[in-house]
Order: sequence, then structure tokens, then C-alpha cells
Amino acid sequence: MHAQVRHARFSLIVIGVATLLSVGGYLVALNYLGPKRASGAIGFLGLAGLMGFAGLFYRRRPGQTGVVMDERDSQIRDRTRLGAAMLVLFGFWGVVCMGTWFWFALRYGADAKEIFTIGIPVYWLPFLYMGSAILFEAVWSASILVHYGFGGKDDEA
Amino acid sequence: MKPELKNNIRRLRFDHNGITQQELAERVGVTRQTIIALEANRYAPSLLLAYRIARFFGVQIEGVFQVDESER
Repeated sequence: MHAQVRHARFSLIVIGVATLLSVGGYLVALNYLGPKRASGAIGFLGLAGLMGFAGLFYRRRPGQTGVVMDERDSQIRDRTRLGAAMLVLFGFWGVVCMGTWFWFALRYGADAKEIFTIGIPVYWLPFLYMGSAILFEAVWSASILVHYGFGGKDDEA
Repeated sequence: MKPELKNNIRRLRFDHNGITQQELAERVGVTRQTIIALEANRYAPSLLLAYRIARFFGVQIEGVFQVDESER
């Protein structure tokens, strides 16, 4: 199986586990600790840092001959990365920024200027950033798996 | 419709003592998966890779790759 496929699968598993633990932990702790303390469970998202070990997949193993990445792999990596970046930029941030504005305009009318000034807790900002970064990694990894036929198509001779 | 790049890599491999996909991949500096994708016409190689493959088989690039005009 290609190194990029193993990398993509590893990233999706790490993201899945980190998301599950943080959301699940928050929901479980919500009943016992209240929303403020339960939000500590979001710290499980830090597990996403394990993706940093993905570089190990590109190591040449003992006895392995040939190249690990070639021009086609680089092309797939670049194309999927660009696609994922565009989706996060226009999808995620489009929904967060434009969607919020549009929802307010629909709900309160375009003239309700005083309601258009909203405040969000400042600690949401890193979560928004981390959320978009994790979404980017997830979309990128899923696109790579699609390009390689989930690891099976390219191994058929 | 987009013209499709076809190739004779599989036939040329068998004509060259049945060299395996892995051996060919190592000789031209790509992964076996790329040779598989090439043989299945799922990937159009760079000019450099096309040249390396043609040189390995000792033929012109046109002897390995052809544009399928009927797809136009």
C-alpha cells in the first residue's frame, strides 16, 4: 500500500478519535460539570497533533527498493491539497462568516443594525482555527483515499 | 471529448523478457502503482517520464505512447 494512503488513513483515524473523544467527553461531562468545565474535554483535540508522526510513513524501510514518492504521487498530493484548501476556505469560512451574517439578516431584517454587532468568546477563535485546520486535514486525507481508490485500485496489476 | 493517451507498456514489458512492473518502476524511477496506472490509461506521464520509459525500451516516445484521435 502506498505511503500516502497509509498517511491518509492514519490522519483520518487520529482526527476521528480526537473528535469523538472531545465531543463525546463534552457531552458526557456536561451533565455533571456544567458547560464551562465540560469544555475542558475539547482539549482532546490536541490528540490531532499525533498526525505529526505521519512523516514516518515516508521512511524507506530496510530492504525496500525503488522510490517512495514519484511525480504522480506529488500531483495527487498537490491537487487534493488545493481542493481541500478551497473547500475549507469557501465552505467552512463561507458558512461561518457569510452564513452567520445571512442568518441574522433573514431573522432580524437588514435594518436591525444594533443586533448585527455580535460578540463571541475570545477562546472560540483558536477553536475556529483548529476546527478549520482539522477539517482541512480530514478533507485532504479523504480526497487522497478517493484518488488512490481507497488503496485497492492501484495495487491491481 | 478529451483525447486519451494510450500506451503499449504492457506489451513492451512482455517483449522485454517479461520484465515485471516492479522492475520497470525501479528502472525508470517511479512506484509500481504508477506503472499500473499508466498501463490502465489512468495517468498521463510527464514528458520526462515518457522519455525515460521509451529510452528503457529502446524505442521512440511514439513507440510507447499514442494519442487516441478517435476520442476527439
